[in-house]
Amino acid sequence: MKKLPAIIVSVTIGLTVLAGYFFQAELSTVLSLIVDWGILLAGVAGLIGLGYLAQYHLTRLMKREKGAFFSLITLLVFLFILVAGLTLTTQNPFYRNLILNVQVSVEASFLAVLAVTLLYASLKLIRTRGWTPMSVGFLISALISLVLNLGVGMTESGTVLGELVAFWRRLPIVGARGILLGMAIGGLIVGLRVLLSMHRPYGEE
Amino acid sequence: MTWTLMGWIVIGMAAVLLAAFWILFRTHDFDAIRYSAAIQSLQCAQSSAIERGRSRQLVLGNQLNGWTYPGLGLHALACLPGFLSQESVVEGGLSVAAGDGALAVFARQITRQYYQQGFSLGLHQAGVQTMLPGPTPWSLTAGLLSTHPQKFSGSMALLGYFGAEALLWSEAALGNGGDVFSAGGTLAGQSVLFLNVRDLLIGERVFMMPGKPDANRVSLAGWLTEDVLRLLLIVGLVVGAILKMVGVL
Amino acid sequence: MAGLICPECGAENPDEAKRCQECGALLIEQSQRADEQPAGLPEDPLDFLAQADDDLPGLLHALKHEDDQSPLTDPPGGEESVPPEGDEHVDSSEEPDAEETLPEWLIRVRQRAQEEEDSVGEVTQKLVVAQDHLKEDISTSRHENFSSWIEGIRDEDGAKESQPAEETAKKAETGAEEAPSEDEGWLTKIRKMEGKFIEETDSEIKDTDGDSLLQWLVALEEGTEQPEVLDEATELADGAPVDVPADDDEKHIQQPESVLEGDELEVTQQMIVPTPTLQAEQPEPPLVDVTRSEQLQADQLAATIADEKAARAVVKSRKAKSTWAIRLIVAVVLIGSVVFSLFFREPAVLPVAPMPSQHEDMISWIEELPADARLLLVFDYQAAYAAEMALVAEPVLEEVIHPGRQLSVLYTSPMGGLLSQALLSEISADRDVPIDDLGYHPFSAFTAYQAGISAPAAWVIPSLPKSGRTFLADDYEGIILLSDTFEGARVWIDQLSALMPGTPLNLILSAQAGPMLMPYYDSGQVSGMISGVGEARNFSAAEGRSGAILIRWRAYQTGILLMVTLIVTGVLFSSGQVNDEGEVNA
Repeated sequence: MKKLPAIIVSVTIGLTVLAGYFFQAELSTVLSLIVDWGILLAGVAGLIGLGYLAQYHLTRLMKREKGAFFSLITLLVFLFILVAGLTLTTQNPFYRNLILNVQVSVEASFLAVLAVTLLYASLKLIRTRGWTPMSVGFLISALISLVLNLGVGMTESGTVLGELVAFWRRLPIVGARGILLGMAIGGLIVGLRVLLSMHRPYGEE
Repeated sequence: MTWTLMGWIVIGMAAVLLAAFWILFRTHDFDAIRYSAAIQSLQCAQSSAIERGRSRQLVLGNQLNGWTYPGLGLHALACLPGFLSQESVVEGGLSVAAGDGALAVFARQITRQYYQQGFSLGLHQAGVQTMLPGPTPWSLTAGLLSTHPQKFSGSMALLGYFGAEALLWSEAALGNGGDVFSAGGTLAGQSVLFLNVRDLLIGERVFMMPGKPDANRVSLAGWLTEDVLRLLLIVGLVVGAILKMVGVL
Repeated sequence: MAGLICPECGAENPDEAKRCQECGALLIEQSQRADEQPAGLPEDPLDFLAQADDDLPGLLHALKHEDDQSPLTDPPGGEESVPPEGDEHVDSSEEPDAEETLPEWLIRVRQRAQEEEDSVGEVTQKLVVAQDHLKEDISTSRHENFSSWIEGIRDEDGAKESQPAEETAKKAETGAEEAPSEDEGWLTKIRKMEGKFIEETDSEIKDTDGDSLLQWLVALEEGTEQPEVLDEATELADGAPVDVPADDDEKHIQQPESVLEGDELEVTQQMIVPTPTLQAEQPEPPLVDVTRSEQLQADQLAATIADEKAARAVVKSRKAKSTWAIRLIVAVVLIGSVVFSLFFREPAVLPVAPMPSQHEDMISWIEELPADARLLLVFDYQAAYAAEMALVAEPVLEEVIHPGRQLSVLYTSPMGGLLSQALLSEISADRDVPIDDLGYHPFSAFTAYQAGISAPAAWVIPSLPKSGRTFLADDYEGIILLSDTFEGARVWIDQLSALMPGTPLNLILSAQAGPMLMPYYDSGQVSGMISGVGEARNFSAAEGRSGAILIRWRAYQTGILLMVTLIVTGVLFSSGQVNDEGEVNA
């Protein structure tokens, strides 16, 4: 019974946003306000998430778990960046260079690791899954995409080769489109179940 | 008839079918004949991890609202109770990681609610660990990989919205002798996981998860509604393609 | 000092105590029951066993207070023994002769076991309690049947463990020291009854007073067995000579029998338990004659234990082989080749490649832009793709950003602000182009949705707070979306193409996003697009530009060629291998 107001509020907001697609002129002001509140709530949730992160590292530090030293570094850097960002702001060239030179380098390194891992996983795909149509098709499509990205087959549109290359470029999209349609249907059902209060994983069933 | 109007018709039809099936299953019982080898394997892996005293890891993705895949975040939260139900026979070992603040908050709330309904609240602190290793996809990856390797040696389940970085998570788990299951992810995420994860659900099969292992009437109604919509979509695509070929459309 | 043993907790209490000092259980009843021994039944020399309502403590108390009670009395209430039905080992039913020779106390014990539920268990518990008291004197606690016991007494000079035996007996009974006179009286009565040991001296009696019965009970509990038959006991009761085994050290103790109804334990024969000699001889395992149900239970238990101990085919978790060496080699080869191409190879000479239609459309749009155009730039990519996006976006932005035009920038990732500043500062450093920073918008769908709502509000609610977002109040000549993923770009395309169909939307994408968004270009929802280093190279060539893109393109080609080679090689090597489980999964 105590969940009833929350259910009423969530259903009302959801239906209002949906109705906004039909009645834009009438509901634009209300929709803007609802969107602002949603962004605000998401921002607060993001801050809570950062609190969880800090709590996690603090716990590791207090319990002297393995990796506590890195948690200490994380917390110190977090505090430093927070204070620097509040005082210097993002317009400051020093602050911008500090963040970019670290963040871009680290994330690019992760991307490089991902590329190597992808390559290695591709090498052992047959060993993992065997000679199945799926694995063979996966490998063939990957190789064709890589070869096309070399610049091979750059021809004018309208020629036979051009049409063939365009066909090969679009072929993986066909399968992806089927997956996307299925996931869209599934997502629609999940959303409707929550919207109609049939399924409330965050509360009582 | 615009495409927008057609979209709303599909949504309305889905809502009506869902409600109708849900009401129907209140009075009639239907067998949920949906077998998935991957989900069976997940259950075995979870049991094996529990018996071996290994930890279990659940990743809920890095976004609650993935707008291209709008249901994935909610889907991950819907699957969480199924993993929590095993906590009645184990003493901790389950850690839930999320890359979004809202996801982490919801996960903690679900865990707390679950414990309040059946378990002792005192078990909550020691049982399920909910954490946010990082607020962005790559920081989530860094936070997960910096976790103690022992946490990857049991069973890992990947749910929700994630991209190609999931390959690094799965490699870390497999390299430590763990079992990996995936039911979620973007197209890129599902395709990279195809390389090294056997227990993989792709496409709409991802949405079978919330009803496993114990299907309730809501899950049954959802599956049947999906089947009907899928059938209508297939018929519509085929008919539309034919009409386009003959020049009608 | 005599004392009462609590039937509940086994604690010692004074004689006059009515309740146990430890647990508060009633003691009066026990002592009264022990006291209320009806007189005169010479056929039951040890009939006090049956009188002890709660087995051992009362029994011990009864043993101790034989002055107050006659051990040769009938059990209270005149209980009649009813042998259990179906008991195939009941002597009275199958062996009438044996029953006649059995001592009455034994018969009554059996009867009590039959009548009382879990009497064996109670006896057992109390035996354990009494055993605790006896444990302090371990050496002399076991005696066999009367004949061997008496013979042992006769053989011994009384110097052997008369004291320890006495202590043991006393502790067994009450846990306290007893007056020798009491034990002697009790024992004397037994001997008189037996008609055999009257001439025994007190000193000899001391050795064993109280021991035989108690120790016999203790030995029963411990489960030591004696390969003696019942006849020995009957012969003993009749005073007949007992066929004692040749080994004098082997001592036997008659064990009481307890009979329970049902499928549970049915021990109806005597279990003669070997007792350790004074020289601490190891007792021999007794022969136990068990019933069929007991045997089945024992077999089942043994099978269960054997099954648990049996080796099983354990599915061990296979930790993946350590492949760090292979990974390291692959990484070194790949990255090393790319780096070598970056620094040590000549820039590529670009052939004039045919221009795809999406490039042509974008170039057309750029050329048609007015000099004072207002453009919206949406940065929707992560820091990991910053280098690639900068490479792809530079040729386009170089053409778009001109003095006189106005740029509005918004970003949907946390790092978007810094990334946009870094990119635009490189391009517009020498150009006086005002840049309006619209800030960070965490949810691209919300932002795109709001961007598409251009109609003025028809309902004005006075008290409702106003949204602070007005950035899309102005019209834009074009929107340029920089995105690294298909998902991020698709949200903007879906919202803007539906809500702002008149505003051209152009895409600058990473290589992974381009192919998936081509259908949007084909359908006309997107005006133009460029994705990846390859298309950026072509765009640059068409625009007559050169620069870093050429060097990067050479390295890009080298990396792709290497990856193709490694994949083909790996597949060929893996073709002959089957996975460890011998199964192939799709």
